[in-house]
Amino acid sequence: MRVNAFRVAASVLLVATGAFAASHRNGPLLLEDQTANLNDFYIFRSWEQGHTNSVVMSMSVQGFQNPDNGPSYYKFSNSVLYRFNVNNSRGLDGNPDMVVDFVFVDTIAPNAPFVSYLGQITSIDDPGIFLKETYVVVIRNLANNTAEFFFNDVNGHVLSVAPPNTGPKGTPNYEQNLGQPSIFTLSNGMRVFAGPRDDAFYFDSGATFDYLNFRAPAPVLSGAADQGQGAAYPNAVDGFAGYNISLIAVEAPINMLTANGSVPTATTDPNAHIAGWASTLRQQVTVRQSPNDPVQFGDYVGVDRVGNPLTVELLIPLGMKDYWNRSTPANDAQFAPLIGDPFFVDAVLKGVYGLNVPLAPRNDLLSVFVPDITRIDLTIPGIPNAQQSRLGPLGGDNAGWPVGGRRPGDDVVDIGLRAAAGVLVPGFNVAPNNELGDGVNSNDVPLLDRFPFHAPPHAGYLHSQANGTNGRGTPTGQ
Amino acid sequence: MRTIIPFLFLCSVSSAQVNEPDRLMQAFTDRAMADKVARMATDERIKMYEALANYNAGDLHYRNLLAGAFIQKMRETMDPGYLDRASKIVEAVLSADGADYEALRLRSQIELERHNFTKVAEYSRALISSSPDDPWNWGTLGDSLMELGQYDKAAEAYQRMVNMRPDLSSYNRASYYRFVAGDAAGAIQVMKRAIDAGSRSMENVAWCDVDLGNMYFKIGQVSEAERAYLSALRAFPGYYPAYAGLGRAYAAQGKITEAIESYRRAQSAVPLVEYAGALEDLYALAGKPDEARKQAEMVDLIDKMEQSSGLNVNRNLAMAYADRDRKVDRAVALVEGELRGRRDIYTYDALAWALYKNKQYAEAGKAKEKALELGTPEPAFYYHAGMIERALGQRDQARKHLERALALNARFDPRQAPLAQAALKEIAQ
Repeated sequence: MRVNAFRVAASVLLVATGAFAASHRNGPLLLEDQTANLNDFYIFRSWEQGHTNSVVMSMSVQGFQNPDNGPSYYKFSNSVLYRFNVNNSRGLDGNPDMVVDFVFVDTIAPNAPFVSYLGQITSIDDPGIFLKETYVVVIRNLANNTAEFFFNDVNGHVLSVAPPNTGPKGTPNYEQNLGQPSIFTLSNGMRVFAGPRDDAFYFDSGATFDYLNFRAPAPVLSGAADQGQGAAYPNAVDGFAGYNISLIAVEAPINMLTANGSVPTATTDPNAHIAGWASTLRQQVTVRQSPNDPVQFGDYVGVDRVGNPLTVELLIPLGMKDYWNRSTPANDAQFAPLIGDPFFVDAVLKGVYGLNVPLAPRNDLLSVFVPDITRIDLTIPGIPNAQQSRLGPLGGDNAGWPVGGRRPGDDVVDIGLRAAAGVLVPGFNVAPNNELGDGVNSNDVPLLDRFPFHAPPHAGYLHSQANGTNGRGTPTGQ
Repeated sequence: MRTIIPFLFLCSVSSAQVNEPDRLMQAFTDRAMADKVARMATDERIKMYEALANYNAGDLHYRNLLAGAFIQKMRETMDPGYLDRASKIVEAVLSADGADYEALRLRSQIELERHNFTKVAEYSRALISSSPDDPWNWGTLGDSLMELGQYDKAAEAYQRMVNMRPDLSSYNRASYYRFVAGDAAGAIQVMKRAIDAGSRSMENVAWCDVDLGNMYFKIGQVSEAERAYLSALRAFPGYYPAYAGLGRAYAAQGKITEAIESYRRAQSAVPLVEYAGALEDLYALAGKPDEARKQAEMVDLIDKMEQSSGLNVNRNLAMAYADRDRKVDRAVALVEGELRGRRDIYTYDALAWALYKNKQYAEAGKAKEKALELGTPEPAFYYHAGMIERALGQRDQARKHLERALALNARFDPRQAPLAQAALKEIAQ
């Protein structure tokens, strides 16, 4: 009887699911790369006291991090090369002249418990840090083919990744104890940082995805709704509020980035203009056994890159996506026909909203997006967050995106909307083209006026996504 | 955030049959939602894509996304119903647009799951000729060639894949090839790299952890194997192949109760025939003949289900019979069926073992040569070869191979490893 009952149960199970043929190795194919997935690239002149003659480049990876993702937390991949590319010659053609690579190494402390962090962590060398992430910085000058390696800072301290912000008990005074001490000065005068930070990007993604259901008065902003920061515009909701990203940042004296090693003072000087982009690379291995250790063998291949916040990635057909990722921006001209006649302008701005927009080809857009690099004029000094216009050059503040680099506070969504509507083309800088916007005018938490400029990470304890947007979030890192 | 923004400027102009706001919404979903979607469980994704596909009935893209989500669900559950649903969607898309690239790619994957390996190789090659820069097609080509036993060509395809995009998918395949080709140490290094490369789909990461555990187990590093299986379970809780791996590791450590518990968890998730076979052995060792008999009945039941579906192709079922000296003629027939569409070393090993059990020693001897061709560090291959050679009177060869099996992992199987030891002892006398 028992046997029969089992038999019935088993057959029900099998009938319900069908027969199970002999399985084979169905290795994963649909890949959602996480650790090499770049989100944003920033490049701007520093306005931090004592560092104003420096340029800061940063990249954010692994977007939408939940601050409470314990006990293991997000980390950088050990098999990815995280690279800043600098182009300072040949009229900014999209070929790198200098690269700064970050290579991460995990070390697990002997006798580590199951958790990566244990007890109260009050310093970057705390014995409670069981998963120690460190990194090496490699600077390659492609013009003269030299490379410099940095394993330690000027004081001999290993370059280490800032720990996560668990909350007031586990990581009290986060920024003072852990955030700022994770900034390291290298012997060549550069400063570097790697670790979790607030995502500085802000956008009413929820309203946009609800079929362009912008919260009034968006998408046309005027008066206080346009000028006001944060709480002055109460309706819009920043879909990125309360999430962290992993940030890698480097600050370099201007003369380390220019082709001739000068600090240019006139915008007419060709050395005054450089451009940058971020990329991630992974190493090839041989499929067949080789005399070399498979981990030592192989070139690095690009798996992602980002120059502008408005990338051409979407245009790349599925079968060519990896080709695009592993090519340099110098080859982007092949995609120009797709950018010169943007669908969004014709279909949405003109079609849905009835705006009068410039005709194709849009050379104003091509000059920004092809090649996909962010350009900066090194003669324009940086100014503090409070004095910046979120609209950058469109707001009379030339130190922002798209011509003066890109700062964490730049409202690239609104700048992008207006530029798409043609405000950079004579005759089109009129209302409502120059009043478009999603309604979110600032980040959820205050940005810093010092390196690495992105706000400290949200604490896991605080349930930060419920914490308020448009500048109303709880300031981080306290 | 770059992934959100591109649509603002740059949505492409194609796809004229879709009205413009819909086209915009598609762009939102593709890039804008990519990060959010990535954090959804597979069931949530299925619901979302179903809604989008229904809402935009004319837009094939969502249907492809839905089909892809069903394939992922099938990976996670081994429920072939999901594969059928994916397949119906892909067929419908292709009848609407025979050149739909996403659907054509998915078709290769579906046919791979159905073991139509020759077809997969053909489809993949056709896609490669139009899109030679897409690593996916080189991956499906390599996968099918591995199953067809065309190892040199498979290695070339995998090398193209990894050169184009080194990531979890391509590292996983490079590692697997290295293991099959006899380089366990290199395979383990590359698999660790696959795990480190990671994926937002935690099932994919867990898959690599299990692969790593299996490699460690086969070369006798049982506690490393156990750690890899445990880390698979942390990455993707409830993952059935990780429980089966733990069952193997615990059995090798003599922890029979824990081994049974682990296999039971795997079996309750997906009743694979190899789990029933393993449980039959473990219950017998634990002195529970009633439970062991139930598992033997489970094996028979699975066979009956397959026969009633017209399936007479299953080397795992054949191994379940051959390993336990039951229905050995049926075992031979099942592997011969498998061999018609699958000519890899694992199928030849199964053939050798079934033929041996059916006392067809000369044929078994030929088949085991094929299985050993690449020097794959599979203890069972050498055990099978040794037993066959002993039956053929080739004592030196038999001793060498039995020793090799036990040197790789002296406790590779709770039932077979002691038999290997006994055979070796007898030869040595």
